[in-house]
Amino acid sequence: MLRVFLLLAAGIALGLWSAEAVLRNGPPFGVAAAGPWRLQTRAGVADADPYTRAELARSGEIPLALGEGLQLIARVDDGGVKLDSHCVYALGPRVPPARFWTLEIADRDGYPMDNAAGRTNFRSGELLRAGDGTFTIRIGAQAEPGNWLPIGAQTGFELVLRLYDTPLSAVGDEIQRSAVPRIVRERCS
Amino acid sequence: MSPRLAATLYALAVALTLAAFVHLTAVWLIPRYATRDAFSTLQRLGAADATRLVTAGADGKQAFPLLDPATPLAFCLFDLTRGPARVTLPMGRPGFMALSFHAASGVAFFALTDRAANGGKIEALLVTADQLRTLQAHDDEENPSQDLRILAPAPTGYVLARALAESPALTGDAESAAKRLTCEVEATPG
Repeated sequence: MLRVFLLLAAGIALGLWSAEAVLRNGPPFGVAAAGPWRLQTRAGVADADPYTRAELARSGEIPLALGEGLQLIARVDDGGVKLDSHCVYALGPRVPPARFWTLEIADRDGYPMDNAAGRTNFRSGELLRAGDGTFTIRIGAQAEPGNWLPIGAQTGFELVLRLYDTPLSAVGDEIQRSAVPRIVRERCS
Repeated sequence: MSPRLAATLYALAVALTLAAFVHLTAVWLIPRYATRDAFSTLQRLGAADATRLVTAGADGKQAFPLLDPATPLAFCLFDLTRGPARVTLPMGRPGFMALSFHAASGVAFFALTDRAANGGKIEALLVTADQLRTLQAHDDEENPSQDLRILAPAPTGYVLARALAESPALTGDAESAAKRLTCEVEATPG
């Protein structure tokens, strides 16, 4: 009798734990990847799958609709290593075509990472570019010349790239790795 | 196979089947019982037919994760059980603006950008399947309706107006543009 109870308890615990783990790490499917960037392809459409729906309900996020634009999130650099607030990263040289885009630095829960410089995002219109249209944004705790996005706290962070009015499609299409910006770790302290 | 091994394998299979069932049920039930989801939070922030800016909560923290600080948002809630909802966003400024339509479950079922603006505004009529049938039955073939009718997958949900602030200095300007969103209940013919 005791063994039956243990068995049932183990089954229920495993089921709940696996559901929680899957949602905490993002749904297992409906996610496109391009280099370090992840893109939820099903959140902005009417026939979203149950995992995407559960993830939306759990996070409380308002998803960007498919017709508005795309939201790409990076939690690792190009080498696949978790983004670290003790390091300096170079992001560039280009982003996929879009009418307007923004790059935000956020904490792991998706809230803006405040900092002394008062800058938590870059907008495509305010970027300094090289003569050929390419750019580099340095992401680090210490001030950098040129485009600098400050890391505001000694915690994990993520980078959120939003492309508004972009011809890129999230449904079915894999985004080319060469189209998304690279995130290269330059040095760590 | 020894009876003992068979019994262990059987027990394992029962536990795993139960785990799979619990897993799927949990994923399926979460949206039904969530209280922190976007629609519940918006319901706490505002009432139907009123347009509110999506701003910071009482604790000064942003009300939702993953909002773009460069695009102020205004929202209104719709309840189609009271009739079709006419959603209008006047343009009044150049630059990117968008309307997105979300069911109470959170998924975005439609979006329109300023490229779809007509006569200086983006306008749509949000309807249920029943209302769409009624409207179509009353359509005048000689003089067809100019409305863009959008079929909502659920009777309740929210509409968001998004206006891009090209620079931080334009945030106030974009906020007032987004706040010009209106959602009005319309009488069905019949």
